[in-house]
Amino acid sequence: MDIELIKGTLSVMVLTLLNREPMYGYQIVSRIRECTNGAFEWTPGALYPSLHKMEAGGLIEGEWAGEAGTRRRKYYRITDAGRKVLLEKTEAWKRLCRAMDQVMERGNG
Amino acid sequence: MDEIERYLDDVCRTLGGSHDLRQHIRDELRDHIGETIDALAAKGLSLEDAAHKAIEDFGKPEDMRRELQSVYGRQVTAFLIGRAIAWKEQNMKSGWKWSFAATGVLLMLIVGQVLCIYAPFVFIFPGIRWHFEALGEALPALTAASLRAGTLVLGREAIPAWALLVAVLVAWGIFEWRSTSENKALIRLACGIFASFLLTAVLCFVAFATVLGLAEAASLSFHADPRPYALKQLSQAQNAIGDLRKAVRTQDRDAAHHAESHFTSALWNLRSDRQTASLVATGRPGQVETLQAMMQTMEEQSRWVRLDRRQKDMDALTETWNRFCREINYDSPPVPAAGGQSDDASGGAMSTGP
Repeated sequence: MDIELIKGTLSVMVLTLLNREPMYGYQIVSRIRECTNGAFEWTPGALYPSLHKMEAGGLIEGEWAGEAGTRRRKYYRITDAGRKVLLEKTEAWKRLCRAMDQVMERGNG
Repeated sequence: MDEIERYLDDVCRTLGGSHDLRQHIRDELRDHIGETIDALAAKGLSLEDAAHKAIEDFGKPEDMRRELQSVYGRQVTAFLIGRAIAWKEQNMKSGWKWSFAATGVLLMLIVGQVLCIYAPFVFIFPGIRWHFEALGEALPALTAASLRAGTLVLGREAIPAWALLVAVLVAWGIFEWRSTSENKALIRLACGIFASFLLTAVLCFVAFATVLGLAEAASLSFHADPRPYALKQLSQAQNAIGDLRKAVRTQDRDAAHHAESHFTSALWNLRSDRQTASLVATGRPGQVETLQAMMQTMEEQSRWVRLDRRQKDMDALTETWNRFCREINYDSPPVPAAGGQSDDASGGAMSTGP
């Protein structure tokens, strides 16, 4: 899939997933793969810089969890600011999809 | 697992932010790689293959580093070290010649700097100090500080310079013997460059102190009253003649050499027109030239005394000296001319000024 297109959708998808429950990096990649039946194969090299950018921007926040002797993981949760941005981006994305649908229907018709 | 740590090193090496932040990023990425390895191992891959595949899935380390740098910035020191290592890999892997040539040039530079620092302490500072002492003036502060610092390293009772040199060579030898780092050449060069920077700072200080000392000494020589200085020289010459006479009597070659050296040194300092003129009592035309000629004669006579230590030559020198003292009206205790026993050679005084 086009890398630029993926980059544009990445933050929306991450915020959507985190809006349901806190997740760690590997879990996010796996969940996206499952949800899209493998259509989106994010590399960690793309995911982590985006997660850290969103964390620095205050859209999500990370917290380390894990007991002694087990693997420690950094769980990300969405913030209020992140929910607001998610709402805006979801609306924008829906508008874009509707517009694309209309263009394609009329173009074919 | 080294492969994983190397990958994480590559990603996090030049990232900005605190050490803790870099450590958190490392832990997070290591956790992800660990999860991927577990998943791949569950599918039947060996741990080694699983680790290799997990790292491959992460993508190029420089891409991730660049992305993370856009969030956290870049660490300057780590960046410089990274560039140095990259330079080393590009230039020095081609052979030992680069390393050898660079180390050789650096070593020559350091030796040159050490010699340039050492030289003023041996050849210039003693003269400057002697000059100021003779004039009864204090040394310029910077020159005095430089001399004190030099005495700490070069003085007889301080740490000898060669001990420092041996310590440095021993440290270097241990490094060459024990270090197994693949960046050995780079570390060697970095230490050399650091040492050279330090030596450059010391050299600048010493050079400035030298120039200042020389300038002040020259200024004093031109502006100070030459007469007290000339009297000191006369007194020194008088003492030296006494010592020389003793050395002839005892046939002590070393003492003769020492006394003659002091005598000629005092005369040499008196022979400038300015100094000689300050001794002239009567202002008679040509008197300065006459005195200078007498001093030249005494220098030659003292040389013969030093070489042969004959009483006859000593008498000739004493005769010229007494004549010289009479000429300038120097009220010194007369030196016995025919092998007399008087050892009183203390300095006298001018009975009348010019």
